[in-house]
Amino acid sequence: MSSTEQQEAVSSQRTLVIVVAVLALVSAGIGVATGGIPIVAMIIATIQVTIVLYFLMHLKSEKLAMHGLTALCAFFIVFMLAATITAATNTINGTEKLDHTKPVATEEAH
Amino acid sequence: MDIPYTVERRPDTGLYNGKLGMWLFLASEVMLFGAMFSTYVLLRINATDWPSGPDVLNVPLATLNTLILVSSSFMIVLAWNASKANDYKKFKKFMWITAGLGTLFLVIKFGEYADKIQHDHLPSTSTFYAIYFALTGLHILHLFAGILVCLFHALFSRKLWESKPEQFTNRIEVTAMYWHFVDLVWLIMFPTLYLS
Repeated sequence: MSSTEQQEAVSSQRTLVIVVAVLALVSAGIGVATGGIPIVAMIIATIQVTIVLYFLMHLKSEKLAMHGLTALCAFFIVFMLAATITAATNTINGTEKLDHTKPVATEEAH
Repeated sequence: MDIPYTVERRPDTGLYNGKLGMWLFLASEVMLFGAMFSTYVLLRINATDWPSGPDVLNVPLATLNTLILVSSSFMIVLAWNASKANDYKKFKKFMWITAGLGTLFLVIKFGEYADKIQHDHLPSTSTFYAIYFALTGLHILHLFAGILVCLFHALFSRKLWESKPEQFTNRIEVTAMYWHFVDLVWLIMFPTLYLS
């Protein structure tokens, strides 16, 4: 890589870092102003993570195998969160939500 | 006998050994943090009462910490570029700045912890504080490890730079990848804990 190309690469990475920082400020501003909207905050976080992963960690220039590994990780996270939410809300086949406040049944004394 | 692919890329993966190892390590880290975030979701869904992040945590300090970590990510990019340009003095300077910014993050975080402990907000206080300390504590451990690696490169890497400059540059690239990952985890943790 020539010196000019390197300068250009640094310049574009500086821009991306500024974008990530500004997004963090926007996210914090919205969070404080509204008392916290998880969906908005997570959408902004996803954009930030994509920028860091693709441009700072150079995933965009890697071979397909590394994209596959990243996709597998993303799938793992989504699957685990979905499984957790489904299990916690217990909506599989319309079954009712578990009542965690109920005491565990004890064997009656004979 | 020389170990193959320490510098040149493997034709099948397109990566040298160190980088492939780092990608696989980071994939395992995703599993670890993924499990922690799932725990957070599980606790939050089942909780009868869950505090709003901005009400109980210090958002301005956490935002400052985010900016510090993002800046440190850029500093390590500059360190890597300096190593590629064979400018050891510049490399060392940016490595020290990266480690310094990481340390500043830790100092602010410990200040936040001290404030919480002073107000009797301990992990045993509620499930919210339990997962807050667990998630941020795990992140702190990772950041601390990153700082140690940066300091190691800043202090003891001259010999490698002189004898094997390409291998040295690759090491810095792999270190930068880890540092960016620690930054990435914080970018998810910040809205999860502080803004929702």
